[in-house]
Amino acid sequence: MRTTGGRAPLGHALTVLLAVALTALALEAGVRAATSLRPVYDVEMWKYGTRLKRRAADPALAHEHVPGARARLYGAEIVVNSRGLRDREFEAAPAPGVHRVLFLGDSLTLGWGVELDRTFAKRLEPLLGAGLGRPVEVLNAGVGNYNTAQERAYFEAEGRRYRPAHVMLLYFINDAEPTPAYRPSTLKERSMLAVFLWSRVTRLMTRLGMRPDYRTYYRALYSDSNPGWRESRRALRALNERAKSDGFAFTVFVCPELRRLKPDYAFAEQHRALLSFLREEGVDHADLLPLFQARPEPESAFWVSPEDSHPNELGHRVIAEGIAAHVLARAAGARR
Amino acid sequence: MSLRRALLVCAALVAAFLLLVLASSGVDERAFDYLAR
Repeated sequence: MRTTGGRAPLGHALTVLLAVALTALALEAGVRAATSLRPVYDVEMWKYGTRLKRRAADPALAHEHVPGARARLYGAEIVVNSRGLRDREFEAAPAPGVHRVLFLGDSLTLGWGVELDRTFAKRLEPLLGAGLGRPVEVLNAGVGNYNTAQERAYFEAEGRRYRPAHVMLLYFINDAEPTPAYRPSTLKERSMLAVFLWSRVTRLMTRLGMRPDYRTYYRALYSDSNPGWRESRRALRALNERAKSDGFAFTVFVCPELRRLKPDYAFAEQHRALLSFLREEGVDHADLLPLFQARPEPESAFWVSPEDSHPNELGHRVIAEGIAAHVLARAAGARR
Repeated sequence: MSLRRALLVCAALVAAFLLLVLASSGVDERAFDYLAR
């Protein structure tokens, strides 16, 4: 009896363990099958992070695109060229007569969820070309989750070699996040089920007030004690100084967070703080918020999907038109 | 008995998974996050 009683708990434990393992495997397969039919934002971002990005040797960059990688993510084909740009191939120097623009930014500039030819960077090529009366090429240097400091690091390490006549930067509210430091591989990097569970648990925790929601989180980034906000301002100042010393134009376009624009923008105070800084530093800039607020559509009309407020094709069109209007007005002013 | 126990564990895990999916559906209030950068 003693022997049987000693074995039984072990047998039960093994049965439970086996059941858990088999269920996890089945759920992993189920999540992979379901998300291939109906993409889920977090899973798609996970694929982007694991298939198209890699850790960078330079800690100031933290991560970078994998040259030559490609994947279909959240309904859009993302093809990375041989130099890590989501764009066609470019020679180091522009062809004679070509006006070259280098666009720095994060996943918004990259064009997350939008086909390349629909992104604002590519829309700008004909818009600016027609307005300036000469060929214009806009290099899309957007990399998902770059903050301003990483964008500056990218420019110094790689962007300068393209010899742009104009460097533009799309600023988004999370640009003030600190540069991430990566830990060694975790389960979240290997299992789609783990990613899916993490996604759902964090959503639920946010809804229950156990994690800050996006309003609280983004507003907190702009406290003076956040080193990310300090680094962001330092990077903008450094890029502006580099523009003066190297003789290229530099413009910052401030894109709003698209979840609550009307009647009052959810981040009006943080937005004003950034605009004040740019004004005081003498950085050429344009605010894209009024353009979105003037549109008749509800906010959701600009989102990639109901669960993802990255700008969709319409959002990219509004951004491109706003950028073109600012650049062409400046060019006309300079001619007068 | 073992098979029954195993099936019960599987059913409980699947039910918990479905409950989590249901409870977390709807508008996402999180800030942008990026996995496995």
